[in-house]
Amino acid sequence: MNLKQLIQEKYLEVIDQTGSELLVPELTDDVVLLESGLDSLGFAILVASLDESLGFDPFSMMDEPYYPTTFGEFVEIYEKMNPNK
Amino acid sequence: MTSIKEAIQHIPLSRTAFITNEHEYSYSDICKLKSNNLKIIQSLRGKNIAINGRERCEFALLLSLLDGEVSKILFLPSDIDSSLHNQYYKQAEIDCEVRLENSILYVKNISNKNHETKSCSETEWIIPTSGTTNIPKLVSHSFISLTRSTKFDIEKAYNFRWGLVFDIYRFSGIQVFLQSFLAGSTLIITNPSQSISETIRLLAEKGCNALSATPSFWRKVLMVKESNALKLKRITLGGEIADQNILYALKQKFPKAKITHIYASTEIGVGFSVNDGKEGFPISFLTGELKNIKMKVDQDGLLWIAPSKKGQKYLSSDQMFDKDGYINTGDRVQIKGDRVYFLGRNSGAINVGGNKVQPEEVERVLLSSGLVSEAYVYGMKNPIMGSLVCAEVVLSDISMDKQIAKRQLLKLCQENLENFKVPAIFKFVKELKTTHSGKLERKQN
Repeated sequence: MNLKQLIQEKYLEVIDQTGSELLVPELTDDVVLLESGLDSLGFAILVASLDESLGFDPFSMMDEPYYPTTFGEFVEIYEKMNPNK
Repeated sequence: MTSIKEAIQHIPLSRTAFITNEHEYSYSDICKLKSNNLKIIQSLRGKNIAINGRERCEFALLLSLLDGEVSKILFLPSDIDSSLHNQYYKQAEIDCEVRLENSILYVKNISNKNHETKSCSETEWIIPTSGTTNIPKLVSHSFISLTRSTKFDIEKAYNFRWGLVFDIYRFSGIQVFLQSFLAGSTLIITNPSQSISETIRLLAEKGCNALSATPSFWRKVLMVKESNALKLKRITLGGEIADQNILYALKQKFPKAKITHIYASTEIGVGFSVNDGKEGFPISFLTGELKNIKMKVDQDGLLWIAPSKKGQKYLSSDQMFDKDGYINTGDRVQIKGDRVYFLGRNSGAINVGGNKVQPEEVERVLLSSGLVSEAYVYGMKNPIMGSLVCAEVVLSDISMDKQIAKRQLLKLCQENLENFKVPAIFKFVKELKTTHSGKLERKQN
């Protein structure tokens, strides 16, 4: 499973865990994060559970803060900041 | 200046006071509204009134009409448990509730023994604390204690359009209202039921150039594309610790804005503001640099603040000040070099995006499941919400499947707790540590 697939899987888990509903047919790169079904709390949980499975949290590693708008940008941050690549 | 009634006399009436999605009110509209309802307002002079769960814009209009006329105004946000109303009405000696419908002021009597009508120049504002650890306390403020830090430059203020995203019934929202109104600026009042995108779109459309919000709110602002249309001159952060990341990110996004983070609470009022772009505050604030307040840090690292003019008190018999006139903020700080940094609430409450979570409450729910024998709830740092709720639990039956246990615990929490209190992460452990006195050992927040 590549990083993107793992993030998609975790994303759906958090949707389930928080009792939210996916508002888009599928998680493509151009999906706007805050319109996809997860609110900022769900989004925070996603970052925390990815930290658990991947062992890193790119948002707290960044020197300069960056807030992604789309799902594609979100995945890109994980790819870019992955210390194990 | 001692009231809104007095302040409004200095403001050019053609200016716009309030803007919502549907309406606009000029300062002259407010004066007209007042003269149309003058008889009722005269009958309310010197009385104690409550504004109970009315909409934000209606609330702003009611304050504008009644401050400087009535003796006390009790603010009752709609999220206050209605079983507390009677107790609050007694404490504040409330005579009646008021509301504004289709520009007509309505009065509903609460008490049989109404206070007599008499002239009154200064109104006490009675504001409930956020009250996460216990029942919210009523804090009474004078106009002076509320406006200590408000600047009234009516000429400059013409250029400002403040956005209201805080709850206007709470101290933070009232501060934005006063900042805008007293100087004759325009206040754009957003609707709390709208999404962040819709809120920011409205603010941008209506030309908002000054906005005060919590760091958590600002993080959301930075995540929506509508924020590209915001042309901010003033940015204020308050209600939570403003960390360096959010201050920096805002500076990047809005390079022309003056960024200030404010330390305030319902009890203290506005303590102080910091505008050097750095988190925490300079140590010189502790040694008498500030004019309006004095501050000290005690041996436990708790911050205490003494306002120079004490216009505030609890309505109950609780004491707010120590013998030297200081209020315990309940915030723990740390001094590093020439800077003082905030560590968090001493009480151990977890702050999830501005919402406070008391660990004990969540622990009680987990323990009530019967599935776990021990539960420990704590906050875990999170870059999006500041903190998230985490739970470490010891399964009663160690052979139970952990995924099934997690699902059942989540379900129970979702049924019994607000969503931000539901643990985001569960850890199954063999045991939990206790202190010498037998209490659960809690990590320092």
